[in-house]
Formats: sequence, structure tokens, C-alpha cells
Amino acid sequence: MNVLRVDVRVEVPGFGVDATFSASNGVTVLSGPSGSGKSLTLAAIAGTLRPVRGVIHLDDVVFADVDSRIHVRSQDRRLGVVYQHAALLDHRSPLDNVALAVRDGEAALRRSSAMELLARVGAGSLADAKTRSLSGGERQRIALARAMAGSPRLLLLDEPFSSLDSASRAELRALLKELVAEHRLIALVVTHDQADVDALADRVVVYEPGRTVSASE
Amino acid sequence: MNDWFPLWLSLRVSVIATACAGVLGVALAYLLAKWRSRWAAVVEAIFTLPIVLPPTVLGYYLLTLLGTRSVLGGAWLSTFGSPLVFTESGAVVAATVSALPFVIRAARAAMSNVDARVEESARVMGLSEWKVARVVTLPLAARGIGAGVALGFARALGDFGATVMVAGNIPGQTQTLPVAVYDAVQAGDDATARTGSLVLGAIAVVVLVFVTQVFARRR
Repeated sequence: MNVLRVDVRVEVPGFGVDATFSASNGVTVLSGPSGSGKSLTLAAIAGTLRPVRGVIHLDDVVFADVDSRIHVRSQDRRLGVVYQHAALLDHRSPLDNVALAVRDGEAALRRSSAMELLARVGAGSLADAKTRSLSGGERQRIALARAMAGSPRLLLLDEPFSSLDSASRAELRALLKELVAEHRLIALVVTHDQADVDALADRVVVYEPGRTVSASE
Repeated sequence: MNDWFPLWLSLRVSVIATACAGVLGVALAYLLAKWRSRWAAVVEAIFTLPIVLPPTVLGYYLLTLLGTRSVLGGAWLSTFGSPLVFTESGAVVAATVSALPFVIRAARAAMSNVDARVEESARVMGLSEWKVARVVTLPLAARGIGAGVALGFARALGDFGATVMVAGNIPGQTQTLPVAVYDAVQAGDDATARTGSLVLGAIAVVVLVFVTQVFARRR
């Protein structure tokens, strides 16, 4: 059982959030109104924002410890991320997008791993498509495959399905649950959509503006 | 216009200067786009000076910096056995410095407009900073960089003041086309002045149309 422990304060100009929770294998949904600090927490876990107080660690690996001046680079945390608008490289094919995120092996091996991942998320036929012309649901499938490509233990998803139609949403929620179970991952999903909470959550961390207020199974 | 040497020299100097300004300018623009410090503005202002300084003043600075009695000019002389000023190489340096701010400003603006989430995603998925720059930032900023490089070429081709101060006006050696036009006007040679001006004007129009159509077009 992997455990992520988060106890930090994260600040940006004009706003700060105190987040305290832990998450183990399965899907943990960070739920709460817009502007309550969910995405800031995710940024601190991803390493793209430095907390001003506290610690983040995954099992015995410290990602950030402000008192000890430890801040592990994003590149070295071995995470997968999916944003609301899939931040894909439109000038590269879907296959390239995924292959770039495969960390180990020769180029041919990385491409074959990427191809397997695309097939696993139901996007094998899109490998050489024009990335720019993909639909929202297709882009999120590619983004999910890319997030899995680095063999992460922790997946961070920020409003991953909110710009999709309801059919795509349902399919991708089911796909995410399957991947998390298959790979025994910890997935943190930021959402303010109750349907996401109902369909995905093994546990829920509730935010009020500026702080976490509860965590429940 | 019987002697086409100034045109060929101008083209040669401009191409080399554009390559130098392109490499230096893109590297500096990347550092300026990513460097979150108030000093970044100061550094950018210094590299933008060639746009606002009178070209002769820029030329004077370069002459002082690169003359044989300066540290840099002395080092060049002892390394290559000939001075940098009043040579074709001097013209390249003057044109590079004139073109540099156009590349830096356009490239920096384009790089700053790249969606930070795309770069962050790339970092989180393990790409090194160098690979993020090469695979994400530079390709996404390519149009802006291309526009800056094209404008830099046009500026290098048209440079007069800095070039004449640093490289002089030696026919057959350092006399570029803008300098030859000036020389022709001084000598009352209207035909040469007219032809040279038309050629420079035509090249400038072609570059500007190219920039508008190819680089500044919406995606």
C-alpha cells in the first residue's frame, strides 16, 4: 500500500491554502468550490509550485520539506498529470506525445510502449493522427496514456473531464478507475462535479476557500 | 550600377549576421523569458539599445569596444593576425548587433506566450529543461522566432551607421550596399544610388510580406 502524505501551505499572490490529508491506492477526489485551492495543492505535489510551509512525501520519498529546504524537481517525482485541457504537443503526433513521456529504453522500445498504452486507452487508431484535430475526449485519452507512460505511482488529474460531453465523461471515468486498479496507483482528482465524486471517489478531501476541512472514505 | 560587389557583400554579411543573431538572440530570449528577476528587464533594455540609439553612436561604442587598442580587439588581432575593425568581419559584428534586438524581442514575446501548462506537463513527465526547451518551447514559439529572425535579416541588410563606423567604406572590401548608395549620392551618381535603393527596398518588401504571410499569420 502506497501512501501520499500532504501537510503544506501553498501561496500565490493574494491567496493561500492550507492542505492536510493523506491518500492511498485508489482515487482520492479533492472536492470543493472553485478558488478553494485544490489546483494549488496539486501544483505543489507536482513540484511546479513550492510550498511555503510543510511537507509532502510519498511513502518514504520526500518530495518537499520546507524546513529541511528539500524540493525535489518535478522531473524526479515520477508522476503523471492530466489537465482539464489536455496539454498535448499539437505539433507532435499522439504517439510522439506518449513516447516522449516513456522514460526508459531505446527510441524503438519507447515507441512500442507508447503504442501499447495508446491501445490500452482505446486510442491505438489515433497514433499517427493530427493531434490538433482530435476531439476533447480523444485528447484526454492521449493525455491519460501519456500520464501513464512514465510508470508513475501517483497520478494528478485537474478537472480532467469537465470539458467533455457526458458520454465521453462516463467512458473516461471508467477507464481511469480501471487503470488505477490495474497499476495500483494513487490518483488525486480535482473536481467540483458531484458526478465525478460519485463515480470515482474511494475517498474525498473537502476544501473550503483556503483550507481542507475534512477527509473521508 | 556596374559594380555588384556591394550587393553580394551585403547579402553575405547579412546572412552570417542573421545566423549569429539568431543563435544568440534565441538563447538570450529563452533566458529572459524564463528568468524571473527584475534584472531581466535591465538586461533586455541593454540588448534593445541598438533599436533606439543613433546608429552612429552604436557604431562608436562598437569601435571603442573592438578597436585594436581595446581588450577584445587586441585579443582578435593576436588570435587572427588582422584587426576586426575596418574588415568584413567588423561589418558582420555591426550587423549582428543591429539585428539582435529584433530577434530577442520577437522570440521572447513568443516564448512568454507558450502555455505554461504544456511546459509544466513536459517537466512533470520527466523531460529535462533542455528537452522542454527543444521539444516544447522552441517549436511552439517558432513563428515568433521566425518573424524576429526575418526582421533581423532585413535590419542587418539595411544597416548603415554602425557598419560604416566599424567596417568603414572601403570599395571592394567593406563597402556594403547602403554605404554604396550613400557614396553614390555624395558623388552625384544618381543611377547607382537609384538602383541600389530599389534593390534594398525590394528586398525589404519581400521580407516584410514573408513575415506577414508566413510567420504572423494566425494558426
